[in-house]
Amino acid sequence: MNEIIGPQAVTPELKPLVTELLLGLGDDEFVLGYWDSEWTGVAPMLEEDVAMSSIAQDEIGHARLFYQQVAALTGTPIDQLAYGRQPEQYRQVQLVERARGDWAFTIARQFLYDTADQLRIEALKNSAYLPLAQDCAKIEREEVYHQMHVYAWLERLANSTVEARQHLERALEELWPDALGQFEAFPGEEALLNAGILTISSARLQQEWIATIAPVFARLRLDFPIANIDDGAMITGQPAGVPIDETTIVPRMGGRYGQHTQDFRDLWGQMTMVYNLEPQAQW
Amino acid sequence: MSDVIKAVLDEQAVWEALRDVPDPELPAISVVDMGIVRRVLVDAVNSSVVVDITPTFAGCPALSQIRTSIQDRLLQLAGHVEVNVTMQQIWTSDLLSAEACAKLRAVGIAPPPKVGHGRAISMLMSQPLTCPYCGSQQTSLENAFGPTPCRAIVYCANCHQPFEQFKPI
Repeated sequence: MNEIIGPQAVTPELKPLVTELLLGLGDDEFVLGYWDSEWTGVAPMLEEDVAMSSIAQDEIGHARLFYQQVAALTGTPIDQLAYGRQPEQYRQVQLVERARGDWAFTIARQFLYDTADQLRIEALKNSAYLPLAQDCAKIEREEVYHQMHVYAWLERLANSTVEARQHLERALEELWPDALGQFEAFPGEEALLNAGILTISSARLQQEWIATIAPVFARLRLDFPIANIDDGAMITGQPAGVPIDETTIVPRMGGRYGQHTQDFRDLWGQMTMVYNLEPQAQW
Repeated sequence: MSDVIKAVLDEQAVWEALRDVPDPELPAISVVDMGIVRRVLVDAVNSSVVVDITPTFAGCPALSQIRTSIQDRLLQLAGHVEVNVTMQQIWTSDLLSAEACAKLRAVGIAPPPKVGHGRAISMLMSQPLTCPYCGSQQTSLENAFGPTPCRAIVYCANCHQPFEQFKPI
């Protein structure tokens, strides 16, 4: 696979696809960072106020790295990328645009996202697009602390009071469709795979994700209604002897193609408010 | 502008000048001690300097300020200064110089354990953390996150003070 050393080396056919990929990755972190930052001042305890604020700062920083790549490819200034688009021009998955909800909802969503993101970023370290690979090498190191945080909280909520566990279970039940929506194929994914810019398909990433988190749910005795289907045989994450949930979960797709929810439109209105007062302003 | 240039323009002079540029969030420590400066290229004939810097953390808000500070400082030595941000050699806390670690301790921040090729997280969790005030290891990690992306919060049971711990990464 040929290495693509920089923006100038991206072919005209690949350029819009790489741009969409980078916007998707950037928007995922940007939108999630915004929701996470809402906990500043109102988190359940002081340590978590500090933790979520720091995590949100990291996420916005990761978004900035991806937006800088888009700027290098397209010439669009990064502030304009971040704040100057209309809602239907954003490319995040719907999982990250859900309003933060209560603490259990935030933790459940963070867990479902961070575990998938970890696999995605790890794979992208081997991207043929060198700037992307380098950025992901950096991001991966910082995400280690996010993962530690969210694993600890998933366990804490699952294993403490009845009420905490109920909140967590309710949140997870609501979030499964969004969680699966994370694996919506990127526009032009096949071409990106052929060029080595993506090294793993979204479908394969989903399988790896299910295999990674199923044991965690089994250990915490939390419902896990998803199974990998391989050549018609069900490969279940449930412990042997436990009945498999027959409900079909419909992944909430569309985010990668600009289909978004009211939650995001509300957020967009807030986060772009200052920028839109004077888009040409120099900050 | 030529009358402004007083000193000899060579790599050593540039590195020494860069030691005057502080990290905005840790003013006791220079960008050189932080390992932020990765490369210096000097063209004495054309009075031009190129500096490559790398961010510590992606979300660090001080990067543009660091660029400006470096530019301002080096314009006292050269007619043309270019500061580039590079992600080629990503920053790791192992890049902190011994001098940086000593200065951190002096302002009450415990320097990070070496990461090497290990998993950074296990360094923070599994190694005893040393209090920069009293030297005790009777310490407990209160929060893996702190006031900036690079710091965690630890409590010393010996001298009863909280302190900041530079995070291994």
